[in-house]
Parts: sequence; C-alpha cells; structure tokens
Amino acid sequence: MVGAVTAVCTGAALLAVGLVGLALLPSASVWLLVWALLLCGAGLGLSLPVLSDAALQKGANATRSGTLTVGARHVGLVLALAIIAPLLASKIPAAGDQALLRGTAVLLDAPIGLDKKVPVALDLRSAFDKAREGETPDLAEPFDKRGAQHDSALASARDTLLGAIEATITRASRAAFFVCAGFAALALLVALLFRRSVLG
Amino acid sequence: MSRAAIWIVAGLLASAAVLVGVELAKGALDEPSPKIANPCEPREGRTGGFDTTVQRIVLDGVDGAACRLHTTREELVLSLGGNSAVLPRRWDQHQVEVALRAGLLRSVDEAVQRGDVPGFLAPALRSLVRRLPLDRLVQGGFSLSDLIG
Repeated sequence: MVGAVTAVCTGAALLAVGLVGLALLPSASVWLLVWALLLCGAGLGLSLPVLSDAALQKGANATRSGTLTVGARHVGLVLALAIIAPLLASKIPAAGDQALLRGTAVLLDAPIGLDKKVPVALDLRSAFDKAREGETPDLAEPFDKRGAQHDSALASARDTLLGAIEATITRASRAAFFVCAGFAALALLVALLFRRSVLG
Repeated sequence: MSRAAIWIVAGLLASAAVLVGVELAKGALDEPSPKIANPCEPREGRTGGFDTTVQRIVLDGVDGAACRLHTTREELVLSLGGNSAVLPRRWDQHQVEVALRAGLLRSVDEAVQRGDVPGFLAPALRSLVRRLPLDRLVQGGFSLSDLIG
C-alpha cells in the first residue's frame, strides 16, 4: 500500500508539473500535452482519495464530517475561481487585440492582392467587435466570401491567420495555469508541513 | 509504496521535467509568431511584376505612415475602417491622410532607388499618390492605365 503522506505529496507534485506543462500551450508539442494530462490525472488520482479519507472522521460523526468536507471543497473551489476568473478576464481582451494584430500581420504578408488583404482585415476587425458584444465570430467568413474555396493563396492565408489567432488566445490562459500549478505546489508544501498531525 | 510504483512515479516526473525543459529550450515562453514588426525598420519585400511592385510600394508606404504615427502597420490598416471598440483609433482622418500620403511618396522614391520602378514613371506615381482617394491607394486600386492616363 502507498503511504498517505507519500501519495499526497507525490500526487501534488505530479499535478504541479502537469499544470506547468499545460501552461506552455500552445507552443508545446502534442507529446507534452498528452504527458501533462497524464500527470494531472495521476496526481489527482493519487492524492484525492487519501485526502478525502483523512478528512472524514470515522464513527458517529461521519455525516457531520462528510458535510464539512464537501463544504470545504466548495469553499476551495469558489476561492480558486475568485482568483482564476479575474485573471482570465483581464488577459482575454488584450489577447483578442494581439490576436487581431497578429492575424492582420499574417494577412499583410500573405501572397494575395491588396484588394483582398485590406477588406478582409477590416471584416476581421468587425468580427472581433461582434465578439466583444458576446457573439461568436466566424473568422473564416471574410475569406470564404472572397473566394477562399477556389483561391489556394487566400485559403492558406486564412488557415495561417486562424492558427495565429488561436495560438494567441490560447496563450491568454497561461498565467491561470501557472497559478493553478502554484496551488498544487502549495498543497505539496502544506502536506509536508502537516504530514504527522493530519495524514500520519 | 512498492518499488515498482516508485519507479513509475519517478519515471513520470523525470520524463515530464525533460519534456518541459526541451519545450522551454525550444522557446515555449517566447511570443507566438508572427511578431509585429517595427514599421520604422526596413523589411524584406517581394519583387517582380506590376502588382507585386505596387503592393510593396503601398505596404512600405503604410509602414512609413505607421512609423510617423508611432503605431504599427497592422493597427494603422485596421484603423482605416473608422473607429471601433477593438483597438480604438488614436488619430483623426487628417493625420492618417497626411501620414499615409507622405509615407507613400517616400516609398515611391525608395522603389525608384531600388530600381523596382523606372525613373520616368516616378512623377506619374507621385501624382497618383497625391490625388487618388486613400482607400483606393491603400487597396492598390490603381492600374497601368492610371499611370499612363
């Protein structure tokens, strides 16, 4: 059997490393993504059952301690969301602006005519405007309505642009993943500090 | 913890550390491409053919205008569609017009110096830059007949 302290500490460490791996998206390779998800799964699988077991008092007070455990989990969830949600909310609009600029850079450098580049760039800006109002933008539409289905250069510019925009937006979640990795590292520290009193 | 489990966990952690290290070394924390270029610095442009030459002149001209307005080529192009909530415009129409025409005139001179445009066409091109509407200029909406006529 795996010792409680070892399981919790190892699980927290695996989770922290896995979250650091996820924070490196979108630059990272697919292997790192698979590995990071595997580590997160293994980390949660190792630590959660032991922590839940330690939190529950056996005997007559099982209902009370069960309720307390569920309550504590929800408080933790809300606190984490209170930190992560504003962080994401502050990063996404700036990332949207950066994504639009990068998309326009791709467009201006693409081997297509100016008569298509500038109107498509302005249509993209309108699509981003709509996104700010809550609509889901169709970023391929400005290209498609100018014949991207039959124009390979335009289609290639569209695909490169969509990739650049996606990468920039995905990157906006990097800070949130790093904060989550920090939480996991904190959990490791707490588990080490209280290993005798709670888990022992 | 059994010996096998220790080896599995150690292997997982070590391989993850190696993967993270490799990705960091490959520049996972760098800015994603494409980087937004400084419009005040010269950049490589395509050459060959009328359309390609016109496009280079226009894009170099937009670069020059963006440099004057202390912005980027991309932001300046996006601002041509008027004001919006995304990247709000920081200049008025007159400033854009002055900067763009100046940038384009300078770009024509550079094209002549590079040999992309024959010297005898330069006066006609400069005249087009001075009189054509901005949206036509920036979208390359002029042809050989405009130059001749």
